[in-house]
Amino acid sequence: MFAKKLSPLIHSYPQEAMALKRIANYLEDFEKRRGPAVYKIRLDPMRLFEIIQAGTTSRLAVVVKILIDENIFCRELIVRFPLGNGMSFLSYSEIPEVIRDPARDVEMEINSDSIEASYVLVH
Amino acid sequence: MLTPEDKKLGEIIFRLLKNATSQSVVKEFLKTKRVPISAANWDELFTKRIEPALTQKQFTIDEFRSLLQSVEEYGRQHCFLFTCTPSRAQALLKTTRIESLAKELGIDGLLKKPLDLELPNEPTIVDLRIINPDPTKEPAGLVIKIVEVRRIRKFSSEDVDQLTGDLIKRYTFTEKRSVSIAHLRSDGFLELRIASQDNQTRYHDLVRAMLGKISTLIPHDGFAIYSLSAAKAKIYKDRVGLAQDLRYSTSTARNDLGAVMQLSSSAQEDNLSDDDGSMGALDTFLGLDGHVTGTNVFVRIPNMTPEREVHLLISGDLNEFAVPAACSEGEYAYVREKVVSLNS
Repeated sequence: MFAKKLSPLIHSYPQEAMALKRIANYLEDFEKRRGPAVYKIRLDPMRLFEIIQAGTTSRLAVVVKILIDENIFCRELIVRFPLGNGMSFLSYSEIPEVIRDPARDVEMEINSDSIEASYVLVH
Repeated sequence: MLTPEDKKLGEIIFRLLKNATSQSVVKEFLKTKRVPISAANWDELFTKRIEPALTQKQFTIDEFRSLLQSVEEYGRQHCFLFTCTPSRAQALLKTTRIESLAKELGIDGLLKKPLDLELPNEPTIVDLRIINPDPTKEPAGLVIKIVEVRRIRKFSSEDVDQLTGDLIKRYTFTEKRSVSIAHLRSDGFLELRIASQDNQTRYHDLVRAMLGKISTLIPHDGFAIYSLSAAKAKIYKDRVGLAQDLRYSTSTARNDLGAVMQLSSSAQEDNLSDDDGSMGALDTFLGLDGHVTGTNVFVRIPNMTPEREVHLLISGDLNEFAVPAACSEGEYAYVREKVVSLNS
């Protein structure tokens, strides 16, 4: 179970143990129900906020940092197009100013409103 | 007769009203003063109805200003909800604390008389109101009103430079007065109502700036984000039971694999919940780790003739909802209560 990867962290980061337990429970439940689909999980910051019940954005930032530093999640950036489809990038520097939207087959200027962060599992 | 100062003030208040609200709201006010309301447009409403009524003292400049204060504080806003414990809110709302901090900030005069600022050079607190309906009890709330000027970009024209072959797009900048409100209630709710933006959909920077601006009077520690996820889910799941209260227009959902589903009614005036095919597709999507992330509805205001609906968006940040059109204080209060009750 992927969730077992979080067990040592719950002991290493006692101040954030509750939040880490919540994400472990979430992953365990997901994997029990949907098996290997767990490796396809892609969560946006708001969903992560809800799962760990962060309360504040600063608390979310602390927990996300632990999850990334400990190689549980990695961050990707999604450029979201008007029809809802997206394209992923590893950093802002990789995102060009203009991208061809594959679903509409047109060039689209990218601004900050169309970029969103997402978190995927490291496996 | 109006004094020249009052005439000028009347014109300023009218210009601000014109930008802040709809004609129907101004006409409702005129009706209460027994002033005729027919007018072909905004300008005629002022020259034929408002100015003569002010001259004949059918209402005063102060009453006209009160109308501006009430309308520019409601509607055309994105609202962000935070909560703290009632005891913390009540401690922050102590009258002596607020008066003393306002004095330190040099804005204690605002507790008695608001500033009439049209286009301030920088974001400015123009009004500070302790809500105290029962003077024998502790205050029920604190309202802080901030006025700022935003530069709005509008596309004006485009040309092709014949020498370089470059396409040149021109934009004009216009200055726009925007009003934002912070309202702390004794039950622990902190509500930031930020004037809608014209060129951007995200409000993070404005929220941060506003929290900074009010931080002496309302320090942010102890406040948590009030997630509206439950309300978004309930509006969808209880759509049949809520059909008398809400007309459903758009729904956005996302699942934990990152897939996004957007459903919109065929036209703004249609009700998406009447479409069982669309609702069935969304049911299936939500059944496997899907979550409603945004909802776009029209809230029916009860006991209004003709029937009145207020547009409500619940999307963006977790604690964000928006009332994109102008509305009255009562309509806003109804919509806000509806959002909070759906969330509980």
